[in-house]
Amino acid sequence: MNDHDSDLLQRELERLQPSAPKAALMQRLRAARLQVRVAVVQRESTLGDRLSRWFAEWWCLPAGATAVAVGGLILSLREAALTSTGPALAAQAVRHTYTPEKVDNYLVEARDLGVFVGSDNQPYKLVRATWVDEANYRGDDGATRMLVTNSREQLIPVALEVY
Amino acid sequence: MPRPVPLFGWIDWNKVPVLVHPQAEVWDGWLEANASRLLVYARQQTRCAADAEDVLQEALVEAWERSGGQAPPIALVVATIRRRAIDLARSLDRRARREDTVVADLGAEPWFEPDLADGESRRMLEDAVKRLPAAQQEVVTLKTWSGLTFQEIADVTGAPLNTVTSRYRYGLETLKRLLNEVMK
Repeated sequence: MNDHDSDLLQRELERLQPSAPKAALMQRLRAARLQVRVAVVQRESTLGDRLSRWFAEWWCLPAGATAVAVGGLILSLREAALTSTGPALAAQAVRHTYTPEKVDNYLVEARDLGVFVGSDNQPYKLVRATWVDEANYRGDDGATRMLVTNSREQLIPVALEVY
Repeated sequence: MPRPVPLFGWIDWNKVPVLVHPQAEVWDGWLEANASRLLVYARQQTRCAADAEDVLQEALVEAWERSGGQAPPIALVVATIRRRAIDLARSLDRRARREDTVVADLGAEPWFEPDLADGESRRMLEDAVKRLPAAQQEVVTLKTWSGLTFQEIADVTGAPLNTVTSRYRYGLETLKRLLNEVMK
């Protein structure tokens, strides 16, 4: 199915309007509002509140930042250790190699984000496109195949005509 | 003149939680805007219209409570509908096994508004949507009528983003094939 067919079909789907709930159901849903109960405490902040906020702002945040830094250091050390043994392990693990045979790109969504005026005073429409890439790989034995799908987004500025 | 002593004066009423409901106009307006599209998804996830309505109502109440009484994001409501529909299906299956009965599919109600001008092709398209494999049908429904992004659908369904976009593409292909079969 090409992108044009896909667009037409998506437009046809969007023209289908979900049927409105029956009056009885809407009445039931409106009445369900009273089933929603949210507990709210309305009071002024006490000395305890102010102290805990002070503690959160001046002690928890630096402590959290330190914890993140230490965690990052541990992860980087671990990665370095893995990298040193990685090639040897990878060489043992290779059974087949696959070479790309065919790659198809499918546009599954194009959404207008808005219009902006560039530094050249030219208006542009910004479109966010979502693609699905399907790559077919063939194994070195000639028989095995592998399909790898990947989705990606692309921001495309489209120059607008000025009359 | 002595000041009156309040009843239960030892209670600090400012610290007692008060149960509140959402404002009626906010709730009703939100329902008007979203009930139709959420009902389509609830119907898609359940086996009959009555179950869809029950699941929708329960999910709305839960999602609004989780949002602190404010209008919840659609993705949260959709995720709640999905979880409650799964729970309901499991309990129905258990009961059916216990009672040795068959859970009937009574979902013959139309999902979409009839269009008098273009009724036949709309009906064919609706039938084709209903015949999609469940995973593809879910993604197409959430994308087209719930207005979720692919990332939100991935979060709701717990499937990787690549899988979600592929299901959407395969869903459109399957729809095209089903429509071509009917046209022949």
